[in-house]
Amino acid sequence: MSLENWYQEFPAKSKFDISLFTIALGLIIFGLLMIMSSSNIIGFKLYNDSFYFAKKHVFFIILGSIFFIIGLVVPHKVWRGYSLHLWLASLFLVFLTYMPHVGSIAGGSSRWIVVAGFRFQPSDVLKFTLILLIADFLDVNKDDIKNFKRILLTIGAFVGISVLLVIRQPDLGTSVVLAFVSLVLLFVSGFPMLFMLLLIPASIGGVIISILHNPYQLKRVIAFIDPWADPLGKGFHVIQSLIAVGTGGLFGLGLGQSRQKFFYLPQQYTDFIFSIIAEELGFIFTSIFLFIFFLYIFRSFLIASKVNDLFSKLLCIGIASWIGFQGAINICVAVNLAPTKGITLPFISFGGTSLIMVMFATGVILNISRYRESHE
Amino acid sequence: MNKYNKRIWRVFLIFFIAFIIIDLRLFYLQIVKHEFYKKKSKAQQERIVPISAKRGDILDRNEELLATSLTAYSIYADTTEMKDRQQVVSALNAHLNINTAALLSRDSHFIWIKRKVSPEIKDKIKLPGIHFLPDIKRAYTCNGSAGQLLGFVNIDDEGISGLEYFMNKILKGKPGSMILENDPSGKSIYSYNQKIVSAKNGNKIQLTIDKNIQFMMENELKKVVTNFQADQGVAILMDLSNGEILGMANYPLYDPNNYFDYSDPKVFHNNAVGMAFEPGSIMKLFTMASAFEEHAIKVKQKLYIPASLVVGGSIIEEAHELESATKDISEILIKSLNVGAAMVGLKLGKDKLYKYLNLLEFGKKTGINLPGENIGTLTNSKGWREVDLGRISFGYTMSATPLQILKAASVFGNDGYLIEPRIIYNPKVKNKRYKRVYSERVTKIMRQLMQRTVDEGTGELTKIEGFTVGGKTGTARRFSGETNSYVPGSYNNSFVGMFPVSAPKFSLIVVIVNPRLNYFASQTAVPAFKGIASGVLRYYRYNPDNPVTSNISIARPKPFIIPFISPVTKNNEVTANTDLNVND
Repeated sequence: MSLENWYQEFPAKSKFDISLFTIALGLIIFGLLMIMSSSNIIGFKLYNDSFYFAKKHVFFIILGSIFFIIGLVVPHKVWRGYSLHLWLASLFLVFLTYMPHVGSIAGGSSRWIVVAGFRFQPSDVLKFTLILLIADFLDVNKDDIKNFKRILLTIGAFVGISVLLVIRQPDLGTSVVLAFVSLVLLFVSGFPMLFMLLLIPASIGGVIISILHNPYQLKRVIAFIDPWADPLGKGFHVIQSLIAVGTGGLFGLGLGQSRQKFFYLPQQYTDFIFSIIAEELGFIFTSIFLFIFFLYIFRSFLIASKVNDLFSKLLCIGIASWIGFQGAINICVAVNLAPTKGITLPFISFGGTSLIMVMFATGVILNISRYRESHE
Repeated sequence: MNKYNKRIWRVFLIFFIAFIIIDLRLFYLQIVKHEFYKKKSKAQQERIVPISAKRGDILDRNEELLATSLTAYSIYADTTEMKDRQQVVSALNAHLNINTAALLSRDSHFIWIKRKVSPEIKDKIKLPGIHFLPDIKRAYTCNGSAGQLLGFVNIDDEGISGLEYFMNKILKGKPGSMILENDPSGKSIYSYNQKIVSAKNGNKIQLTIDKNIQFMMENELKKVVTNFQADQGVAILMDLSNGEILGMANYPLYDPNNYFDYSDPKVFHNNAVGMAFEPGSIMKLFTMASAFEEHAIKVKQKLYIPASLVVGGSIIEEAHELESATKDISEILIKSLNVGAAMVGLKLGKDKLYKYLNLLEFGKKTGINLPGENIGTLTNSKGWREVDLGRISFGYTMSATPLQILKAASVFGNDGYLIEPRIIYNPKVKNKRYKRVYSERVTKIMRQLMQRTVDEGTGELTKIEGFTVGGKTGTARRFSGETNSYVPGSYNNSFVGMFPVSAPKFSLIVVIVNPRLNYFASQTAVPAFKGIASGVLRYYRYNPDNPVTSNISIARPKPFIIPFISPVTKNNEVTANTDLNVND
């Protein structure tokens, strides 16, 4: 099928949302700037090139732009036709991370597979395909939503299989995102409130069990509760992040002036890039960044509220919740409102798959925005 | 669709609340706890590196270096970087004059090997695990000359003796600091706001001494001290016109560069100001001058002087046997007669003698800026017995330092005025005569008598061809503070005088402690005095002022050639000749 045929099948109703596009563009540029700042020292140390990571990130942005255009141009309902295939394919990719020779281990977990020299994180793809699958399923069964047994069993299977594969990597962060987004989709599609209230404690219970089963996650929780108990060991990461954030003050140390990036704060250009933002830009500009990130969520929710069919709504809300929740968790980790998770800050963190998938997802939301009801 | 939208906005509310909470948390961390985290960050990032201040130089009156600070290096070893310790040890031993085997056998990563080696040695040593830290080494350029005056600094550049100690605050300066920001491995990061408090280098001080004169004085002392097997010698030369000390010599010398090689700290003492001794016959100068001033005696007066005198039940007698006879009063000085001096003193009375000794500031500080100054002893005349008065008249029962005696004797060259001796050179502040002790009439008489002492009396050996010299010997039994008694056969010999007498320019004192081979000042202190005085006159190229004797000698003697090579050039670079030692 060609693009023309797709557009005949799914005629667009309006132009894509330029505000969301601008916000996303701004976030990507800001992310590149912060990667330049936060990675220059480690880049120089590891590769003798201050712009090593920035250059790679530019490449990811270019690659991401292609995926963004695909997301923007291909009518989102086209993906619906392949929702199960895509989900299974991404599950297979996640499964590959367990394979020796293919999987790449870093930081005690095997979350990556190596394709043509590039590290690729399949769980990022899984986030999108699971949302697509659930949105499809809930839309199909929208009139049967009260049939809680059927709905719950099916969704439970989708989410359960996904989470099970991811959590054993181990990647609790992604698992929590998957679980949260699934709950949001259930809730939005009108799943009875009473059952929702049962599911939330069940999910929390699952998280607790996972933590108790995994000594390194337990360590992170202990460090979260009292980082100063072991400032050079378990608490080191959290403390260094807090020092970075706290040092920022009202106006920050100035762009590029971070001290913590000098190997005090690990993962300063990936999972903990927010700490460097806070350190360099200070409270006012960090709050502005937070607001713009929040605006992205708001615009996406606005788009979701303006499209007429449930699938589009769910896909849009799913993506927005994924990006919003992942961002919120990432920041919560940086300011020690949550234990260390190991998930990226969407748009900002260095990380190819994450950026590409977020850009693709943004393209999908923008495509959804073309189906807004113009009268609303 | 509305039911979905309702739930959509409920979900949105969760995000809204989450972002509010995050921003509040951010506010708490960045604003409320800002100072707390800033402190934490400084504690782990900032390293304060002290910048040492360069210690000020000590210069002589001609701005020649006496003490300076050179760049040096301290060697330490990091044993973890060594593969073959034995090889390092033997290589190090070859360069340093120490055995490093014991040092390097220690079970420690970081070991100090040697502090403050020269840059030349540093350049020679290139060994694995051996590192250098820049440091400052104090160098005394004259290898011991004026050592007691200058003193020395300890390994931390703190003055602990002599002028180095006394002027430490001025010389030391104020160390600065540099606040570096470090990464966790301790490497400094290219920081944008390094705070540097620059060190304030110490001020130099310029002394009134002339290092050539100082060196020459020490050489003269050395001759006498070695020839007569004396314990030590002290000499001070003062410019009468302004009180400036041109030389202050102690012998034996010690080398402040290697002060730690000397086991007996006595060698560090500057006895020119620190040693109080019974001056003996020198005090007759003041007894006589005071008596002249008070008209108790007259110049041409004859006096029957017995061989011995009983005063208050004690016998006063001459050091060498003399017959009782009627003698000219001037012979009391010229021939140094103890009994005569005692008689004059008794005639003058204790209150008047005390008045003059007090005016001459015996028993008080001289006003020179030197540490360890002894004020000697001069008790109030109210407590004097008659025999005390007699003895004080010829220099016993009281004590004074060489500098006190020199200061007092200088009044005769200064029209009866006292002037404060000075060691710090400051031509801007004029040092004035500040107190008159004797009238011009008396000082004229005294100058004549002092010159006659040299020309015909005990100071005869002082005679310098072509020049007039005046002075007075002192040979006093040496009192030991340890046994609290006079040491049999042990004497302090001294000679104080001025030259040229026709227009006094310099005053000089020489003290020889415990010369074993000859105990008369006329044989020990006097030749030293002569050596120094003639050296000074030649150094300053004085024209002869004594036509009576000048035809015997060369009209204009050759200037004194100073056998002195400065081991340090003015730009502080050590030249090859560092072995120069005045002891040779």
